[in-house]
Amino acid sequence: MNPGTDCERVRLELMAALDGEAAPDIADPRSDAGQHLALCASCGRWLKDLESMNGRLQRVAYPRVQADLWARVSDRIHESDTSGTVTQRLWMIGAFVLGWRALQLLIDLPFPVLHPLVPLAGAIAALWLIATDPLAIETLAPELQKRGV
Amino acid sequence: MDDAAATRACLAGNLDAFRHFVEQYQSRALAHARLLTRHDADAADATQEAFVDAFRNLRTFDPARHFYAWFYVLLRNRCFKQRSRRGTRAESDIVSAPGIDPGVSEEHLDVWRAIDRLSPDDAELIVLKHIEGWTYEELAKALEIPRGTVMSRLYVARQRLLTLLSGETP
Repeated sequence: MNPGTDCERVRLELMAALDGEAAPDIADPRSDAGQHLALCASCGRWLKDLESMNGRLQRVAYPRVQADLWARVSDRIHESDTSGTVTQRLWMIGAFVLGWRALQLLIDLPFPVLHPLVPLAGAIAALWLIATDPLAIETLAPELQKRGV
Repeated sequence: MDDAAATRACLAGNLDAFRHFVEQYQSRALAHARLLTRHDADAADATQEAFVDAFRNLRTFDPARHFYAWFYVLLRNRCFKQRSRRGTRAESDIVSAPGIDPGVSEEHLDVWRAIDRLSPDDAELIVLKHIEGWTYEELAKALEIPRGTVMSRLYVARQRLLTLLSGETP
């Protein structure tokens, strides 16, 4: 018998039993672990120390939180939601201007004098949409500040 | 409000209902993040981002499971990202020991100080096993290691904590 290896094996069994993960009858002197415990004072002390440490750990509470994490989390969720909306709108403006330009090149449209006004009207409509949505402006502002605008 | 009701309300578009999760789990999440990152500001950032991740991915959460076990995987990933970012920053920026709330009782403080002196991996196992009461199976799943490895690592972590609590140098 190798006492070192045997102690470690028995301690692993005892640990699992204390954790409710295995069910060797520690108190039963006929069991493997019980026989070992009867002969090994070191493992007996180890078991008592482990039980005492488990008791202390079970009473431990988490430190209180002083920061207002909810405010930070809700700001971040809000920010990511609205930034997606603004990006979508900017993409729509770009697609509208490009689409209009392609239409001009492909088809001979009537009233050519009014043509330059169409992308301008689209841009004004998009800016109006953003301006009526204060959340979009809030999201854009820090972005512009970051870029030094 | 319980977790299942809060989940339903969030999925119906009520952002305020998510406050329940943040208020319910922020203390333990911050404590865990502090142990994993060893840095107060990084822990706060990782916890905040993990909650944002949880909100975005709430549809994938099965309300039959415990919320924190699901959330912990997100938190752990965020902590590892913070840790790797921190690793690339200047040495002078590193704070080795996270602060412990002065409101903690003397007995708890001794235990937290000892846990704090363990490696992040050992501390994580001890806290999840002893304070959270997770089973070996739950630990194996969250930490993505076999059950046998959970047992052997837990054994070693406990040995180290026993030594620290008895006042010896490990």
